[in-house]
Parts: sequence; C-alpha cells; structure tokens
Amino acid sequence: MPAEHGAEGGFVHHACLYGSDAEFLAMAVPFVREGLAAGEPVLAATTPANIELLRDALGERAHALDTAETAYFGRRPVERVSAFLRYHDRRARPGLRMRMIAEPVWCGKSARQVAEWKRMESGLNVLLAGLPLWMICPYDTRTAPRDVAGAACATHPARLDGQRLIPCATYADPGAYAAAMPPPRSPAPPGAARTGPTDRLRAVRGFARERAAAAGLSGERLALAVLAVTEAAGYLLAGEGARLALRAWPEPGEVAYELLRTQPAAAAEAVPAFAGFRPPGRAAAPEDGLWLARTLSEALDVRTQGPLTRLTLRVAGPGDAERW
Amino acid sequence: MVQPHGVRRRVHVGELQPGDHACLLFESDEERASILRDFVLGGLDAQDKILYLSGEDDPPGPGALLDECRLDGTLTALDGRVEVVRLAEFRSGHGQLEAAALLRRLRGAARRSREEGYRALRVAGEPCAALHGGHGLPDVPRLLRYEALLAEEFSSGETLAVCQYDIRRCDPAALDAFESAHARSVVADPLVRTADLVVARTYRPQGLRIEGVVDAGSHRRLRDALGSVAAVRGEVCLEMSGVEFLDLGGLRLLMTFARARAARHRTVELSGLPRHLLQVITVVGWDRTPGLRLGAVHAC
Repeated sequence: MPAEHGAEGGFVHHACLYGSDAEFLAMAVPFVREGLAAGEPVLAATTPANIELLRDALGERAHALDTAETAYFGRRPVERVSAFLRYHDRRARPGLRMRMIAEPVWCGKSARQVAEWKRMESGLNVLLAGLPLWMICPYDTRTAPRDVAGAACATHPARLDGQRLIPCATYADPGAYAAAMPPPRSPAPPGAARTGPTDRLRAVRGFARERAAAAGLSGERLALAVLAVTEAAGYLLAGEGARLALRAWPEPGEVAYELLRTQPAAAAEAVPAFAGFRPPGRAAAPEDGLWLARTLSEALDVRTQGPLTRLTLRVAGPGDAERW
Repeated sequence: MVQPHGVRRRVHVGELQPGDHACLLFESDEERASILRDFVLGGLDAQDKILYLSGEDDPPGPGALLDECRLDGTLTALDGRVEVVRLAEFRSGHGQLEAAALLRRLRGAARRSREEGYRALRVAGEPCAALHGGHGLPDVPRLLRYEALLAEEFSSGETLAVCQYDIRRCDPAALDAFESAHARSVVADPLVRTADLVVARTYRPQGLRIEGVVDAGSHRRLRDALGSVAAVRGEVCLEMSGVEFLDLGGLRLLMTFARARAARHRTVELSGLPRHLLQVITVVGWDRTPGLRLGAVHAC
C-alpha cells in the first residue's frame, strides 16, 4: 500500500468500491495491519459480516483493532460525524495518525436519507479537515444502489482499488456538491400553522410547544421538540436584524417546522453548508445550538437564497415506536 | 428535596406581610445571617419598626441582632428603629414564661411603633436561645406556649414575626412541632426573579433552586447566581425539578461551573433534572464532566 498517502498531516479520505469479500479484504487487511504495526489507533466501522471477515484474516492482531457495527455508529449523518470526532478525541495520541474504515449503510435508506448521507460524505472533507486521520469508506457494489457508488467518486478525492490508488476525476467541491444535492422538496401545506415574523425566542418556544402538543407529542418528546426548534431559531436569530416566520405541520411519522429567516440585505449572510455538524467543544461556539437541533431532529436542512434562509427540521412524531 | 420542612408554605423573606408569623429553620449561621439581613433591611424599606427578642447571653442593645445579620454595627439607618426585649426578663423564678407580661410588652411596642408612624412592628428572635440561654435541649411545650402567644398577638395584622430555630439543636419531632405552629416557613429571597426565571439560594442542601425558563436572555443572571455559591464548601446541589426550559447555553454554564469546582475537588449535583435534559447532557457527552453528579431525575 502506498505509504505516502496520509502518512502525515491532515485528513485523507478515500473510497473503496468492492464487489466481493476478497476485494474488501484486499483493501482492509493491509490498511489495518500497517496501522496496527505503526502503533496507530485503527477503527473498523463496517458491517458485522465484514468485521468477522477482517478479524479472521487478522488472527491475533485483531485484538488491537477497534470495531463498531456501522449501523449503530451514528444513525444519522450528524451523529456519524460526532461519532468520528469522539473516536478521535478518545484515541488520539500525540504524533500519531489514526485510521478508520467507515462504511456507510446505504441499503434500505429512503431517498432523503441517501441524499443526506451523500452530502455528509462530501462534507467530511471539510468537517474533518486537518485531523491526522486516514479514512477509507468502503462501498459494497453488491448492495449499494448504482447512484450511490457513482457518488463515491464525487465525494472522495481518490479511491482505492485493492492497494491501487485512483484519483477521482469527478470529485466535487463539498459546498457546491451539497448545494446541488437538495433534499426532496416537501413544501408546507396551505393549512400549516404559522406565526411571526418575530425575533423573540419566547414566541418561537410557545409556537413550537403548541404545535408539538397538537401533533400528539407529550412529556420528554415534546420538551425535546421544543428544544430542537428553539436552538435552531436561536442560531438563525443571532444574525443581525434577523426575524423568523415559522410554519409547522404534521406529516406521517413526523412533525415538520419551517423557520424562514429574513435579514436586512446588508447583514444577510449565508449559513455555511456544513454548519452544525460538529458537536460542542470545550468552548462555546455559535453553531452549538444548530448541532443540537440537528441531533434532536430526524432531518434538518438549511438553505440560503439571497436575504432569505429557510431551515426545515422534522422531529419524530408520536407514532415513532423507536422512542417508546 | 430542597426544603424538607414546609415545601408548600414557603415564603420568601421579602414577601412577608404584617400579620405573618413565620418560622426560619436554619442550619448554619450563614443561612440565618442571609435571611435575617434581608428581614431587617426589608423592614427599613417597608417603614417597619424592628423588635428583637434577645437571649440571656446577648449584650444589651441592638448589637446582637446586627451581629447575627452580619450588618455593619454603625448602620445609622437603624438608629431608633430597633427595640430590644430580653426574653429572660419574662421568666418566673421557676423558669416559666410569664406570658401575660410578655404580651403586654409586645402590645405596648406595637402601639408605640404605630404612634411613631411606622407601618408595622417586625419581630425577630430565636426563642430556644432566648428562653434557655442557649443551653440544653428545647422545652417543646414551653416554646409552643410562647408561639401561641405570638400567634394570637399577630392575628391583629399589625405585627409580623420570624421565629428562628436552629436545626442542629432540635430533634426532628420538635422541629415538626415548631414548624406546625407557624403558618409559613421563611426562605431566602431569590437571587434572580424575572417573569420567566426564579433562582433562589438553598441551604439544605447548599445550592440553588432554579425554576422557570433559562434562555439566551437569562444566561448572565444564571451565571451570576452560580457565582454566588462558588465559595460553598463540599457539594453544591442545583435543584432543577421546576425548570421548564433550559437551553444548551444554559446547560453549558452548569457544566462550566461543575468543571471549575472539580478543579478544587468539589462537586455539583443536578437534582430533579427533567428527563429530557438528562438526555441532552448525555447526547452532548457532558455526562462525563468532571465534578458533575447527576442526581435523581424528575418524573414527568
């Protein structure tokens, strides 16, 4: 394996399209072995089947390998980024790089989720930039949809074929990629409840609470929905002269909130494409609240067009049995 | 549990009105000083005259009251506004309280204060110490007779009183009896009182009780309130079962406070934490904050 790739410095992000167990191992075994031999922390976040293959192939050395069943290593993109950063914080050693095999779960995801994960794969190039981390994202072409495998070359600067490194000619700038990959449109229905424009968090909180209760949420679930909406609003209202018009409506399985921010043209500022994906650190940061809103939501999308910023978030509805 | 005695009958010292006969159960001199100080200063604001029932060992004059309040002895605003009555003077040769004589004295003082143009007579005293000279366990029946006397006098609505009982000197049954003899139990004035947020100092356990809404508009107030208990030795307990909303920035203030205490080997307990906030603390990873102890969660 070409040792110069990611040997030092910042984040190195490679894809690996594989179509068989042998192809997976041809990439993974030398990658892990070299890392362990160098004393680097190595994590394999992949399917249980691949973890088993890898352990069998590594023999005794498998004891030193950190593993995570990938479906539970961050269920949604914001949690995934947090999981990567937490692993880094926990295992980082001065002067040593770390390695990760990070295989997303694509099979069975909704169109919206697939779009979110593609955006996040691209966003990792920005979010993890500078970290001494070599990450390889395997894509199983036996199960991943064709468009997903194609997107891998737009979201990773290079891919590995076994141990051969192939630059991705279709790699896209992450910001541009995210802008070109909007979530499926699901506009507010005509009968959506509305309030504002307002710059008062108390009004936002009251509206969020009333609509969550009307949708059937109560207790802890209701309180978390109110917190998600209020934190998102707090982030948007930090802009100078900002005001928010809110709409809310129930959807099957979810409660949707739309926060439309208007700002004086001179103060208008676009929300960065990957704002709110990094978990709060030791010092307070402006995006902390947006991170919490993302984390407490099933989905959160934010788009800026001129002086308008539209943030749409969806929290799980009362029928979501995962949280009962 | 913040106030083990009288949860439903709590009254902030600043909200006492003529006619109130309240008890102050205290466990530290600091606690008593803080509440008594507000009691005295509140009396000045409200144009009340202050009557202090002093103990056998107290020096004559208002010095003992000022000491207990930790008020500057030269506070000129108190000149002529404090009357001192030595309870020991109303004990018979057998140690019995001469109730009728005391009552006459109190009535006389109340009348004089009215004649002098004051709104009301404000009475403070520690009956155990005053009647026993600070020695031995309290004689419960005798103290209750004294309390009954005060209660009768105060029903006129022109007098208010705070009777202090030192928890360290009373057994639980006696405390319950003393507290039952009062309509209300007095607690410290809140450090923060806005339309949305009330933060009050607590002494058993030491800490703060936070009630209402904490958002960006009240972070500074919460930070200041936390600062007021920064010097507490041992554990600080933040009682949070009355928190309706607490944003991430507010939670961060609590974590920063815990971390600062941990540096001095002291802890912070979040007690009665609403369940959803426990979830938020965990999801952020703040459940591992040094110095932080997550107590019982508040049932929804």
